[in-house]
Amino acid sequence: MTLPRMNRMLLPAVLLGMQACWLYAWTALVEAYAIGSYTLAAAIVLFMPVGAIVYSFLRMLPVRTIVHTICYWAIWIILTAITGKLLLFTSIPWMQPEWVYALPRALGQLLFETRPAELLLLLGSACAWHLGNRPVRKAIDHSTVLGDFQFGLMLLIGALLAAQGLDAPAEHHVLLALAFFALSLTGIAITRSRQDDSGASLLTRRHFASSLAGLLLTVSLLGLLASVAVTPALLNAIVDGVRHIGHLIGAVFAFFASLLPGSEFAPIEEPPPPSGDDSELREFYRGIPWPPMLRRIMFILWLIIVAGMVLFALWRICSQILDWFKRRSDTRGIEMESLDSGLLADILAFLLWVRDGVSRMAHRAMQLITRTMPHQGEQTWSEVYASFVRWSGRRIRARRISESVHEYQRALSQLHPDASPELILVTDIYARARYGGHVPDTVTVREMAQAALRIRRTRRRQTSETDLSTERE
Amino acid sequence: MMDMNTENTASEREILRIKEVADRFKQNVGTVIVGRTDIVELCFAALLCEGHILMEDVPGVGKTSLARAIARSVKGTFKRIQCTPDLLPSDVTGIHFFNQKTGEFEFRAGPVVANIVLVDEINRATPRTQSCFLECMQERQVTADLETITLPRPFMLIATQNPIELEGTFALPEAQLDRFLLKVPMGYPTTDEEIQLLHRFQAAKPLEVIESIVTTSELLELQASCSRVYVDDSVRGYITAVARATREDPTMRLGASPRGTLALQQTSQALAAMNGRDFVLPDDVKRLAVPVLAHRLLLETSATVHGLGADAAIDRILSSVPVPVD
Repeated sequence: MTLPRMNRMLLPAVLLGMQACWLYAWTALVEAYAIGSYTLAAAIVLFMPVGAIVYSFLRMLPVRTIVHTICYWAIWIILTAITGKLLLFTSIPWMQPEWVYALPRALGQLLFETRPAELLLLLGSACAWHLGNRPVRKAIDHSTVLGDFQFGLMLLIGALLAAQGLDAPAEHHVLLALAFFALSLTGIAITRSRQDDSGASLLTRRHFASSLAGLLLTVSLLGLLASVAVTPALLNAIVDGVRHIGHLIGAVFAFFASLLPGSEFAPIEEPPPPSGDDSELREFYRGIPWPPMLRRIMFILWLIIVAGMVLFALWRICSQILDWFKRRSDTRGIEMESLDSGLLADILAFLLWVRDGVSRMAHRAMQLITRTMPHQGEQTWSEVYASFVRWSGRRIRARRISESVHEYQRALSQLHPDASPELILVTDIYARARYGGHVPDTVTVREMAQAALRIRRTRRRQTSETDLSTERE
Repeated sequence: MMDMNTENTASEREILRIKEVADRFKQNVGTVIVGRTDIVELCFAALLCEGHILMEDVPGVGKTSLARAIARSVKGTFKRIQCTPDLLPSDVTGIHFFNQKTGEFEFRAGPVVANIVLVDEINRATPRTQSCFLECMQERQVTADLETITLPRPFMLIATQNPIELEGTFALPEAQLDRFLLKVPMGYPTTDEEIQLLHRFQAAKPLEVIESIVTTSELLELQASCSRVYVDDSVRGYITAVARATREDPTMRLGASPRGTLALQQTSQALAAMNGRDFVLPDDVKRLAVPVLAHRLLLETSATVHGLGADAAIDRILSSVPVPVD
């Protein structure tokens, strides 16, 4: 293997390793708590490199992105079924198809019963499979590695606290954390050095991660030395205090985990109620005749919402703290973004992301329906143009509100000179009809629609060729 | 193939005729004025709208030559008025003199009574003399000694002014500026154009051999056809939106007048016809917004201090007003 090829593979491998650390920490914790073994966690993490390799090969195929995605997830279904057969359903013979249906059945019966092993395999492997193609699909730069470092760090801390709260064995978490830090610093150093090849060291460039690491190390060492020098009892008190806070946070995770069925660990002793006996109130609530399925649905929704809120809040706080460090170390005079406005901005961005995703899915569903349904009638010139502008806005460049149709056409022609004649045709027919009152006949509208279709094909062909050439380079 | 909206709109033949004459006009004037096809195009658009042009730039860039070339391209009467501070209104409009042979007072028309009038260095005339142009520019008539004389049609006034020499000049009032359909800055030629200019004018005098390509009656017909170019309601809405934006813009002390809005529509119609179209596009409006509106605007002092010009202000407005697209 040549050196440049190794260099190209290094960053995706580092990112995969970082993701594997926190994924393994969580899957191992859930598996240990709900199932009592570690075999599934290791298998789930293996999905990640396999996914990366499979996606790399799929990208070489000269087909559309949607075909890549479909093939990629089809392979996941097959691999998950085989993994389930090998690890969970060893008693079922290969020739009997029950092992194929076992995993989807567990998902389908979620409202009636919980099968932790099957669910863990399904969700964990899907997560790992999705994360597996990420380093291949995404251009890895400095901000990507930094973002992954922040996110992974929070998840690792969460896993550690949860393990402490559940009294689960957590020896491997220390190794995972060390591996995670080593990989993160490697990734950050590589991406930073690619950004700036001036040859200066990381610390002299006031790089965030190295400054942070140096700061933490110095403060920890000095604090430790000072504490020991003053009094060993002080050190013990600080350690006890930190442990107590950790235990409190872990109790929160233990509470969530206690909601999962099949716990093999001893239940944590609950503190006595703060005031009075509420057993009558509990009995009253239990006496409400909720249908079991509704109760189950509400429980799952509640779990998702609470877990999501906790994760989101933790991520946000972590992001703010690290951002503060970054600004302190890198720039002067920059104003700090307040936590409230930052949180609001993030929530808005998240909601917009959800809205875009839903509208995209709805649009695709509509496209699918219109393709499968029998043809009701011809499109009008305005519909053809509106559809074309929507598509070009998503795929090439959105039209500005102050831009005329001909200005927009010239901008698109500059980006795609090959499609220039079709762009001119579509725009001219639209402009004549829209501003001149020359309503085109059906033949002209059909020509217009075909020209719009040719533009889309040209664009797709160019995109595929660009992807392939990038891949070859 | 197409369904034509033929209700009171210019026919395809009329549009083709306008385009043909416009091409010939550009070619004809182009023998005198090297390059500057965009300016020549604007001038012909003004001819089609029977509007007046104000040419402003430093001396020696071809303002008067262009005006004379335009005038000679139209087969009609042409007069030139050289404005000076001692020019009197009667020198422009004409006077009544006593004819000793007939024993009666007779009216001798001034140079303004012509199809095309070149008013050279208009800002050198006193406000009193400048004001005598107001009536003829808007109402196409002059009043002298209580007698009103209708000017020949088509009537077009081409004025030039020099923005550099301010001593002994009188700035045109807003009312007069608003009566000019277009204000055309000439600008310096490019290096290639200047070399071509040297070649062309080395031995020949193209201005003297230039031929007229359209008669006044033909021009009137073209003007009538041009006014029937179709303007969609949405494009009218766009023109209005641009004009309103100039009035509501905080950097403007005076926005575009309704006359300016009307001028923008007329010139857009002319430009569309010159390009062989029987309908106006928002692109026509955008193309003409600066030459039609800029001289009608007054900027706030703060904006002027910050170096913002009317052209830049209009460009900024155009980049914020939505273009009507479904």
